[in-house]
Formats: sequence, C-alpha cells, structure tokens
Amino acid sequence: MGFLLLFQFLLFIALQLFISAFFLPLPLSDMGTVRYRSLPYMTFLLIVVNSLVFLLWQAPDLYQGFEAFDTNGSTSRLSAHIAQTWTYGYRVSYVREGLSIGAFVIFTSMFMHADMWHLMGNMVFLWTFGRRLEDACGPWRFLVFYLLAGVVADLGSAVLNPSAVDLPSIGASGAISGVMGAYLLLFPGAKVLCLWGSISILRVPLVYMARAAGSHGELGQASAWRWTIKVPAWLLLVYFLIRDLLPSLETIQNGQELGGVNNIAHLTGFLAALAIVLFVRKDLAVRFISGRAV
Amino acid sequence: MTDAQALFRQGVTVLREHRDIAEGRRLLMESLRLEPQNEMAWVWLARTISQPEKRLQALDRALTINPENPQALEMKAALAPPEAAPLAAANGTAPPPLKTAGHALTAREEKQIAFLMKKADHLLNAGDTEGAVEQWVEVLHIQVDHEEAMRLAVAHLARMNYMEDAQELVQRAIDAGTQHPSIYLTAIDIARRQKDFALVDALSEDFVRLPGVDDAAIVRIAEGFIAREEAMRARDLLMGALASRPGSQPILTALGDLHEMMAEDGEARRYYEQAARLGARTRAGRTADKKLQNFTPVMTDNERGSLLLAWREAAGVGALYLFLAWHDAGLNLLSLGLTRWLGVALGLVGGYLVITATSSPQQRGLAALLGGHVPDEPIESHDATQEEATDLPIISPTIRLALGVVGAVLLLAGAAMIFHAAFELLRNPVPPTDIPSFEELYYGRRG
Repeated sequence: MGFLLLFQFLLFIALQLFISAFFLPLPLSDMGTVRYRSLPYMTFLLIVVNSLVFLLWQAPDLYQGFEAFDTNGSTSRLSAHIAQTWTYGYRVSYVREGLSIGAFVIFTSMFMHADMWHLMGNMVFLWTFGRRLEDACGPWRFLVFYLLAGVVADLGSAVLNPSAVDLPSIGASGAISGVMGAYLLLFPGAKVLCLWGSISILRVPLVYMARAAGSHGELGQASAWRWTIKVPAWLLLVYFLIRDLLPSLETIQNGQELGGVNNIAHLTGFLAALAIVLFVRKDLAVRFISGRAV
Repeated sequence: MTDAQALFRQGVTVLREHRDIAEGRRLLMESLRLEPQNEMAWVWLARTISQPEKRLQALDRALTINPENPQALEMKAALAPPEAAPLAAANGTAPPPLKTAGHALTAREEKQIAFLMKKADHLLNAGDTEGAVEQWVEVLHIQVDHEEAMRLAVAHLARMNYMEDAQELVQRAIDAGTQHPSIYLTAIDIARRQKDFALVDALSEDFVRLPGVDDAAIVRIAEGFIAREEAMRARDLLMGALASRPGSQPILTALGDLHEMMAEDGEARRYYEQAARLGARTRAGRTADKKLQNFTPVMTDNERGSLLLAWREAAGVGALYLFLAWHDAGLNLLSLGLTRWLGVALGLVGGYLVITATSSPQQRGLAALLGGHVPDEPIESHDATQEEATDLPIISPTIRLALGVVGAVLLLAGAAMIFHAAFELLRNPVPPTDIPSFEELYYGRRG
C-alpha cells in the first residue's frame, strides 16, 4: 500500500516536471565529453544526502502533517515541520544574533528542501551540470566549491536583501547556481539535452507537413516524435541568470520579501562561479587561463 | 626464381603499389648488385632518381644491355631537349647557369636581367611569345632560379606544349641547388602532368626540407600521400618537416590527425597537445584543441611542479574558511577576531598540506627538500589508463601520509576555530523564540 502511494506520488512529480517542460526546457543531461573519465560519485553522493535529508527528516512531518490536517484537522505535525524549517533554515537573525545553531545553519539549510518538487527540480539541475564540473575538478575540490557557492549564496542573500522580514531560506539551489555558473564559464559551447514538451508536440505537424510537401531535407527525414531537444548551454544558463537577475534587482531596490524563490541567493551563487578557477584541476586551470578549450 | 629476380619484383611492387621510392630503390640496387645484367631493373631504378645526370647513367646502363629497350629509349628521349624547341636555340651558345638566388649578382648582371625582363615584356605585348620566352631563358642563364622569369617561362612553355623544356628549366634550377619553394612546386606540377609519380614523390620529399616552405603546402603533400593510402610515407614526410620546424602547429596537427587515423591514440594526443600548447588562437591550434576534447588530458611537469597551482587550490579552501568565519562572526568581517583569523590561516595551511599529500606531491623545490626522488617508472595519468613520463622528484608515500594527517588535523582545528560561536551555541543552546505556528504561517521561503 505504502509502495503504491510512493509510486503514485513519484508519478505525479514526473507529470509535473513534464508539464513544466511545456513552458521551459528542463535540462536532463550534459552532452559533452567527460575528459578525465571520472565517475561523478560526489555529485551522486550530494543527491543522495539531499534526498535522504528530505525523505527521512523533513517529508514525514510535511506530508503526514497535511494528511492529518485533511483527516482530522490536526496541525501539530505541520507545526513541527515549520519549527524544523525555522530552526535549521538560513535566517540572517540567527547568524547575526547567535540563535538556534548559529552559523551551522549554512550546512543544514543547504541540504533541506521545501517539498518534493523543490528537491527533484534542484537534483535534476545538479545531475545535469554537476557531473561534468566534478570531472573537471575532481570530487573533493568539487565538494569544496559546491559548499563555497552555497555559503556565498547565503551571504549574498543576507547582505543584499534589505527586507525587514527574516524568512528562513532552505534548499541547495544557491550552491547549484554556483555549479551552473561554473559550467557556463568552463563549457560555454556545450550542448544540454532538455525535455521540452511544447517543441516535441509542435514537431509532429511540422515533420508531417514537410513529408507531405515531399521534402528530402533534414526535417522531412526526421522522426516525427522526439522527447528531447539539444539546447546550447550558454543560452539556457544566461536565461536562468537573467530570470534571477530581474527579481533580485527588484528585491534589492524595494526591499520587499514575500517568500517564494530566493533569487538573490541564486544570483550570488552564480557569481561564486568565478572562484571555480581555484578548484579545477591544474592542467585544466592552465588551459582555461591560456584561452584553450577545457 | 633467383634472389635477384625476387628482389627486383619486390622493388617494382613497392614502387607501383606503395610508391615507396626509398625502399624501392634499395631493393632494386640490391637486385642489381646480384644481377647487374637485368636491363629492366636499371629502367626502374632510373624512375626512382630525380637528378637527370644520374637518371641518364642508369638508362645508359639499361641501353648498354639492350640498345632496343623501348622504355629506356623513351625515358632517355624525354631527358634530352628537343631540337626544335626555342629553349634549345637559346641553349646552344649560353654557358651553363650556376648562380641561384643565394648568390650575389653583379651590378652588370642585375642591369642585364632588368633589360631582358623588360624586353620580354615588350615582345609578349607584341605577340612574340617565343621571343619573350627566349629572353626569360636568357635571364635564367644569368640567375638559374629567377622566380619571375621562371614563372613566366614555364607558364608560356606549358601553354605552347613544350613541357620537356619547362621541365628542363626547373630541373636545372633544382640541380643548381635552388631554395625557392615555388620552383619545386612547379617541378612537382610538371612531373604530375607528365604522370611521372616517382619523380613527384622524390621532389615532394626534397621540397619539405627547404627552408621557408609554407606549412600548409607540406600538409597538402602529406594529405596527398594519405589519399593514396601511403600513411607511413606521409608520417615520414611530416616528421622530416617537423625536424626543421618544431613549432609548426599545422604539421603537429596533421601528425595528430594521421596517428588518430592509424588508431594510435597516444601519439595522436601527444601531437595535438603539442600543437594546442603553442596557442589556441590560430586555426591549427583551435583544431588541435578541439580534437583534444576526445582524449584524456595530459599533465606536464610544469603543472605538476608548480607551487602556485598548489597554493591556488589551498586558496580555495582558505576562501571557504573565510566565508564560514564571516558567518560565525555574525556577518561582520571586522569582528572576526584573532581566533577565527587563525582558523582561516590553519585552513589555508592545512589545505596546502593535504593538497601536497594528494594532488601535488611533485612541487619544485619542496619535493626534493622532503627527500623525494624521480620515479623510475612513468606515473599514472588522470584516468589511470596510461602512464606519463616525469623528470620531477615525488615525495615518498610515507611523508605524504604524514603531511596528509597533519593537514587534516590542521583543517579540523581551523574549523573548530572559525565556528567558535557556533560550537558555543551547541554547548549552550539559545533556542529561537519567534517560530510561528501553522496557523500563523503556511511554510517558509524556498532557497
């Protein structure tokens, strides 16, 4: 019974991801060559740790709390979940005033997520962009860079956000923004395999029209249905950068903080990517500095 | 079949099918040493010789054995200048040319060349092509490899279908030791038109050894060999050219391509790497760099031995410690305090020691200072699938272990110092009091 529920839940998340792919290409995999032929076990480990923290520590209170609320109106488990988020999430007041666990919230908040959708979205991006970056850095340097990007993202959101409201910030997306930024710096010409529902569906009539017109070109010869498209990494990453930049500027200017996505953390995490030159392998650093492909 | 005949047949096969002139010549000479009366061996040997005098000698030997040998007669006739040709007329009285572009001309000779070139121009404009050719040939008697005169003379002789005369002009320049690549290219072109491919190959091999030859021209010649499935010959040609041009990116890239085609990935990678290291701003450099994407990168001793690159990695660890300390100090960098600064310093030094023990055990100076020695065997590459040679000493495993342990202890001690306040909170917790209930809030902000 429990397995069936979990299966239904994961199916629902997969459907959500597919539907979202109608609006924005969802990166699935990096298409580039992994030059050092290393296994991305640190990326995998980070995904496992993030998932376990959510599934074993956060999810029971969150989802069983909602179930209890729907069944008998009890809010105790949901309140426990909120207490967990407010105690271990990143709050500027805790860090400034020495409350809760102080600066350790950097680490706890970095591995916590708001819900399954938040976790899966982040992990898909980490998987897509993290593997090749880990190959370029080696696992331990990649881990240090990942943590540094997360810390800089938190610092940026603390320093640049003038809002008086101090909501807790959770999630790996600050660190993952750093990974994405570093990917953009190191592999701007790379192609990323993306799921993009709208293009996949638009493709069907286009291909059939080309066939009906007797076209022997690429479109006429192509298969009518394809799940994925290849998108230049720079296009995708610059889009994400701009998407974070505009609301961040608005927040910095107006000082409003209503919850939701912490764009300033994403933006500063992205900027932390500049530090990648300290973490890549020695030969790769020399190639990067001398303008060669990495 | 005697040994001499077997060698002869092998030599012919090598020349016909593999177009390997050097090997063909060796086999034929070996055959002739055993059986000097083989007239066809002399004819085939003549085909492997580019110098007319020596070629003629070989043909004469064949005709001594059989004066009716049709191939020898035909080849000898091709070597002799036809009487009716305008060149022969000019050739009758003139002394043998000796001066090339490498020899200084007297003022009188320079004046004479200028006069003859002008006169040729006038004659050409007046429609007297043969007269113009005679003037250019006169110029070539003064300076045997005068580029402009040679270009014009050969072009017009070829147009008038006097290919043998054109060939003689360029061959004379080559025999006189010209260093002009354009003259060799003309000679190659003429030999190709006359379908004398043995001569084409011999001239090509001489051409690539000339100073100042365009790298692209060398690569084109090598590509010609590759197209005829003579990969080894192309390799020898490129290697020969590389010996006099060690910094040529097009040649290095072409060698990389060739080895990749021959499935010799290690060699291919080595040449691509050499080409790319010379700079990725040129076309050949970019090509090599792109090709390298398919290979596991190579680390050089410069990178292995660099202290700067090792400290760079330690700086990354130090930066993380600094940002963490900044947080622990209540987001106020000015109140970091001595303990946290010391923690950052320990993080930097500990990071450096761990990096020295793991990824940088061959730093110049340090490795020797710590009793390191140059490894007897090549060390493992990045992906552990191959080995790379190194001339740098490497710190012994025992000392590396000790450095790693000390580094790890320093990192832990540094972490304890930078999280001074956070550890204090773990000992004496100060729970937050402003946590809202479910009713007050749905849930917190996402990051």
